[in-house]
Amino acid sequence: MTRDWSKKDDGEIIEMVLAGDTELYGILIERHRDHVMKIAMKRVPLDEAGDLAHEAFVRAYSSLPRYGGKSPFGNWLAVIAVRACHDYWRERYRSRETSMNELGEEHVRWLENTASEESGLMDRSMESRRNAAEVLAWALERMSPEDRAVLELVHLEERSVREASEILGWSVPKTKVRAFRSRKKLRRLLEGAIG
Amino acid sequence: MGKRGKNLEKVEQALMSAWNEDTPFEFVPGWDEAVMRDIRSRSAAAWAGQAAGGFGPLVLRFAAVAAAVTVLFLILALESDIASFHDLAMMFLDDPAGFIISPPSV
Repeated sequence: MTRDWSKKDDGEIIEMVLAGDTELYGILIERHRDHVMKIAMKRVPLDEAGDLAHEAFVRAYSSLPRYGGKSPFGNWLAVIAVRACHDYWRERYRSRETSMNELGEEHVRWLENTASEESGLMDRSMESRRNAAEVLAWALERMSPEDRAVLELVHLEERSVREASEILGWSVPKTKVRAFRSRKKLRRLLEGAIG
Repeated sequence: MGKRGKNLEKVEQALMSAWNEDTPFEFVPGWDEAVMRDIRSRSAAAWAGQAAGGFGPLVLRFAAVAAAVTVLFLILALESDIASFHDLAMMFLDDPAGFIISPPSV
């Protein structure tokens, strides 16, 4: 008998996976892989994103009995993915594998132009967007894994401190302090680059 | 906010916009299968510890045994002559005069 699994919601599929039907986990992967991949692509080098998304799904599977269904599975999985990315940077930081790129003349020019832009309109050209992404990667490389994680959540994604603290598993005061410091550090880096 | 602060804010806005931009991507062929292969290889062992509740029950069982043994020793000590234990300890420590171990104040 063929069953239409697409009509089942995540909760029902999880119940069946927990009951021993491991193959159904493939449906959850298919449903959520794009979202997990987007999270990973923003946070780790592009050539590592696929492995990180893989790791997030494996971790989620191992923790599946602890998924209580209080939040949608996608949100729960997203937290696991963000934490996997955070662990990636912690590991790199510990083994001192982080290679630091330097800013080129083009980046400095982009920073100066963006800072002095009076019209209030953002340059949306492909070149400008590429420069912005590279400057951001340059700044994030110079931060600790903790500062990086909280800066991404609070300042770049504009999540609340409480939400970020839940995602990272930190206390609210710690998240608040880290968020403040990380922004200060970002500003210091940008100021130094603009000169 | 000063001019410098405003300028920095413009840069921050541009960085934020770069962060939130979606980059097109494609999964490498066989990515799903690789994840599922990994899942299958772990499926038996993955929840074994969690099904039993991890270390919790083991610790509790150990604690129960330790408590029972303690009670047993206490009963044994109350029923026997404490002074003989004391003598035994003095003998082991080579302290016949009781310099190291003072006699029980019974």
